[in-house]
Amino acid sequence: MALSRPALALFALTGVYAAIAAPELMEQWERQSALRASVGRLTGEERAQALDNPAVPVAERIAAAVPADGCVSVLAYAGPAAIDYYNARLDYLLYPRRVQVYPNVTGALEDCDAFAVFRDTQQNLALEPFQGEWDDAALAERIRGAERLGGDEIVSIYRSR
Amino acid sequence: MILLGLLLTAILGWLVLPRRWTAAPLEGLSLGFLLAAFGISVEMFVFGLVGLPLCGWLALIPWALGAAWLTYRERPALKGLSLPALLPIGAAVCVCAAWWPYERMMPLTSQAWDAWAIWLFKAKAFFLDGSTSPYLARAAEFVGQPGYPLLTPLYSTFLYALAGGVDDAAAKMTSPFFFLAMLGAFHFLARRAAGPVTAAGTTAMLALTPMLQSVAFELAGYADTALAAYMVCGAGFAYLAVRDGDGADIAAAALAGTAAAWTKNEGQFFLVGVGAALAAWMFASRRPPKDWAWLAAPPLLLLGLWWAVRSSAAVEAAGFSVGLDFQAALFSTALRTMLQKAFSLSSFNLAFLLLPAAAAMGATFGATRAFWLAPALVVWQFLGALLAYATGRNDLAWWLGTSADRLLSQMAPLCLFSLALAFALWSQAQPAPAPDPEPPAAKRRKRAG
Repeated sequence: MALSRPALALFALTGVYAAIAAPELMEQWERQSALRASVGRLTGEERAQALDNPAVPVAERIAAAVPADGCVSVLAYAGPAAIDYYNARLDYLLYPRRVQVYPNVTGALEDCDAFAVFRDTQQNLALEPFQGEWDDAALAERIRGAERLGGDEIVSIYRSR
Repeated sequence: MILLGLLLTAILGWLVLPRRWTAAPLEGLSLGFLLAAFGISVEMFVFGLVGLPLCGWLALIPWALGAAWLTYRERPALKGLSLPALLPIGAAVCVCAAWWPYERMMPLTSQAWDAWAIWLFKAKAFFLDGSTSPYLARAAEFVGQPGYPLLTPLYSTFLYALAGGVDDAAAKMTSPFFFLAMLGAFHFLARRAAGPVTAAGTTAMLALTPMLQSVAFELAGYADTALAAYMVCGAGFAYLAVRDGDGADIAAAALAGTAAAWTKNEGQFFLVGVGAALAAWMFASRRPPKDWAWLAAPPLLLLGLWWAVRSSAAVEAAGFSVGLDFQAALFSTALRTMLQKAFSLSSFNLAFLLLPAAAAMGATFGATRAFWLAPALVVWQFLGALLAYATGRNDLAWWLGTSADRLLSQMAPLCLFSLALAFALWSQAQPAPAPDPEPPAAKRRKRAG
């Protein structure tokens, strides 16, 4: 059907289709170029630290302190949507460990004596403020009765005695 | 190593395809990738159940043996590129060029929630556990839809097994591979159904549909691109089966429909639609028992086994009960939103607008029943999505906002396949340039028979 009317119509339609697609394709090109310009020079680890902060560093510190067949209750000073995110993200990053994130200082997984404490970044908290219950005195009390397993300025990991 | 796994999947899959299909190499690699990715995921599932290690090389052995034997008997077609095929290849190159920098962004694993929270989480868990059982036993702990089917997680587990470690960033490459495989498979089906020129034009359109690109690249790691590929294969092979009556096409349609159902819950709805259509045709045309076995065995065996495993682990099924909790107000809101999104040029270009045009052409040129299968499956899937939304299981605005485009991206290839068939009808209705003893209407009847 090289020169038939259907063939010509199909080629014309394909041309129109391509013309409609072109601006969208250009926009995608620009979007990717901008993304590449912002993080293209970072290594994979650096990108994760920059763009998935503090989930990735928190998970790394916990993984170093809690064995793979262990469990950890994570006490997070973070907004409600962030708590949902950290619950899913730390499940993913720390599997097969059992993990549960709580927006308070008393949360504890059943049969699990390890717990970690972290405060979300200022940037994240500015976007979504903390809305749970956070009692610093109660936290201090809980930590006093615990053994420190590891951590740093981002997250601290303990085991209840 | 993950890239090697993807390439081996495509090559070994190509080499076991039926030689009489005479698929061009790019078509064969595409169909082969879709077939072998499905087959490997089933193997990994069975390995886990019978206590074998989830070893990537072990999964490749049957494919390598089959490929060696079939290639020894008959080499696959190695035809050169046809001139019209340069059109979709050019379009695909443009798309990949636009997205090329994104390949380097793949290490942003936190992007695209469903990719890691649902699909790659399972892949990681299966790999680390060496089986599907421990994750399913703990399913209640996780938010990642444990009841969803397992094609993409288990295929990623296979890639991790080959690589010797979890590499979620690299595993996201499966989505662009499924996108390219969809283009090649679509071209093969459209070429057989409608000729090389029509196949070239409609495959180029498929490549240039923005939402399909976005789902494949920006949402890399989601299962929707794989599902779109299997759905268009299911519909395409079902059309060819009804048109030509070849048992290999019936088997291919059944395998593609089962792969769709093994990929995502919308695929299970698709399997019901395409399976019922094929069964009705097979019953009317008195097909032999072998064809019935091909139609019924893959879904019953695989999905039955998955149902048993899921039920024994008390994991709730994905999906919904049709008619249960139906809310008319939600249905009409979802219908409005879905239509707006489907007809958005910046999302789906002209794909959905061309479906009624294809139907009009089909009606004008006296299409056979086989023609209507693909448009009917679009309507079927669209209706299924609306019924799901009308259950009100989630906040509708959020639900539509996060999923409607992806559901439509599964249907868009079927719209363009319908267009290809419509152009074929129009072409056949044209007066032949040279004296032709057979009038076009007779040709159509012959083709339909």
